[in-house]
Amino acid sequence: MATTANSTKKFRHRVMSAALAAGVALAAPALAYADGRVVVFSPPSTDNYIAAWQSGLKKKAADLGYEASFIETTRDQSEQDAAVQQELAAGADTAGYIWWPFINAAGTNSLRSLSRTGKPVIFANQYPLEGTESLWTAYAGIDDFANAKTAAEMLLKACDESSTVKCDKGLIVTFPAGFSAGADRAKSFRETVDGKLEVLQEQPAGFTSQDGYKVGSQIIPPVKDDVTWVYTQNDSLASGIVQALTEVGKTPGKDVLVIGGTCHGDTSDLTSGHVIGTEVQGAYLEGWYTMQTLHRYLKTGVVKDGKVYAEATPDAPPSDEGDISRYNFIPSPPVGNSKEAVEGFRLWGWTMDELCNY
Amino acid sequence: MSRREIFMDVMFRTGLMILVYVGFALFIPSYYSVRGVAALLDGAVVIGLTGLGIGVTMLAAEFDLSVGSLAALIGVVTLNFINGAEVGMVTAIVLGVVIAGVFGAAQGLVIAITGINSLVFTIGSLIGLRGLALFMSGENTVNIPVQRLEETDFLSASVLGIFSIPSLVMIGAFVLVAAFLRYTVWGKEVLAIGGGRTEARAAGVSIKRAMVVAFAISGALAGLAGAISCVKLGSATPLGFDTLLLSAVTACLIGGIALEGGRGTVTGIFVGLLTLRFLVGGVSGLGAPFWMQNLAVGSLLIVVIVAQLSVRQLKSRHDAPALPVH
Repeated sequence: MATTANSTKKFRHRVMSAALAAGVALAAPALAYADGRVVVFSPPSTDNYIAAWQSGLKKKAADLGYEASFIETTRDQSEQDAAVQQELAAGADTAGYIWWPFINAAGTNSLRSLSRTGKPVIFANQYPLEGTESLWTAYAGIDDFANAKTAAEMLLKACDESSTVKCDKGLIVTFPAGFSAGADRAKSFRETVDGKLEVLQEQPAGFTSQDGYKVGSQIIPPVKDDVTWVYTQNDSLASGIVQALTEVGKTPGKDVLVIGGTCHGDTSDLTSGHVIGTEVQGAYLEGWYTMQTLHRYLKTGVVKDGKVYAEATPDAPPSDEGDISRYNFIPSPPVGNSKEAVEGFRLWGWTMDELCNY
Repeated sequence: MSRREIFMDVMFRTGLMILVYVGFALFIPSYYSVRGVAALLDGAVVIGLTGLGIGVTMLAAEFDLSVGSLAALIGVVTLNFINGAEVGMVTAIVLGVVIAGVFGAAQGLVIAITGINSLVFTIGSLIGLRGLALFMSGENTVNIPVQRLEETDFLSASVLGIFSIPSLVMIGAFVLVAAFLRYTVWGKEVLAIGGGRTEARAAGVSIKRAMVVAFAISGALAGLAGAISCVKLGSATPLGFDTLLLSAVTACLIGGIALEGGRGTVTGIFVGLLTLRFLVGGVSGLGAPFWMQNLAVGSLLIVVIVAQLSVRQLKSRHDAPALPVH
């Protein structure tokens, strides 16, 4: 009996010790970053772009002495709002917030809650809505309007130079409906090609080549004899469109000019000439730059009016010092459809493959 | 199931819920602060209302797959009322709920009359309502103007420290639906058709009425969830609530609602909802990647279902008559 009682006692001690050790192990990180915690709200990192964005942000945060705490939710704004309220209820010490709503316009009231804390809020990835200026400190990310303008200009140039296709009517394939970056880009693209090209149809698709193919195989066959160009908002969508065009007997790059707005995935359609060009919007660098923007604000407490575009230098990344602006844009330099252009590309020390192939 | 068995079942699930809560409360300070619990309750409203509605259809041995799309559509409609007709927030929510309830009732009536499987029928409405939401929103997010956002603050205001208006509405809905199912003839009819359609018909229960009632409740609650959530957020997305159906069904299953119908309680749904909320909020609050939420919820669901099946099998063995000894 005594032996059994001793064994039970030992077992209890072991269980309690293990539980205590597990508790300490889990609680330790929370205690370690109490002074420099940055809370990042973002859609789920199951999306490759968001995962790369998070990696860049995390790395920069670590380099600058912060701990980035990511709060991911589904792509449903009510879930993200619940996460915001939960985080605010915790009352944890936070240096600042980084806010990436999946549906930009749908996050305004959650953004209000964050802004009421008095901590800096860096708006990320999608151009903030007009009228919400008082709710955020600064924007860091891509300039969707400039990105689409550059894509339109590349397309117009390719149309002028093409000997095989006379550009006239075409299609716009966008990010999902309700995703404001897609709407902003489509608007800017239309404004740039206005009077020069005719838009037959604008169709929301998604982000992947499957999304591009699915939409392309529905909208291209009825207009296959009219379509001369397609603007897609990233290269994965462009790959899907290339496949859909090929299936209706068209030769992309020769009969129809396809432009990808943002590098995304592999570059084979670009180097093969099926896609006439793209722009390098590095998710990793965008996350990196967003964290740097918050850090610079925390150091100086100053936000200058206006917009600033980080320089697209091949090797040197932007400095960690100095005042930030209200709008802080990462560069998205255009890249032509040649192997040399792709392989020779460098931005802040990164190759195109490293920045785009995720 | 006898009353004692139902009580034991709910107790088992409540124990699991407390375990999940305590497990996270050890590491997340907000889990044991009044404000944190209020946030947890508030975050459970959309899934809670929808889960309650879909739970009622499951109790009737039916299934309403259209709840997510309906919530999105009613969100858009409600905000269109606010922006276009310039009606008050509460009036717009009420109008949205009425429309959703009427749609649900009509859906139930068509299913009852035609005899089409509700799974099949509501797949159609799931897709169609999403299209309608996109059409009514012009494929864009509908917003309450920034200068009117303050009018939505009453939905975020604290009531007695631990509640908000939406969480009180949700709790009220649970109490009302539980009382309706237990004490009214129409409510008992819903449970009766779930327990055995042929027997219910033989006993003179109106299948048509019970179906209309079950789907009207489901529609109205999905509409209420969509309207409250969108007004609180100040915006309605036509593609929103796309994961709501799965979360609502998960809450029902954790709460002990049987997919084959006729078994489960409203209390069970509430317990399942809180268990899910504590788990998802906890994983998210720990800063874990999103896939951890999926993994945790999936694992919990499997554990609950396996435990439930094991208990049932043990019980049937125990209840089986002993073989005669020769």
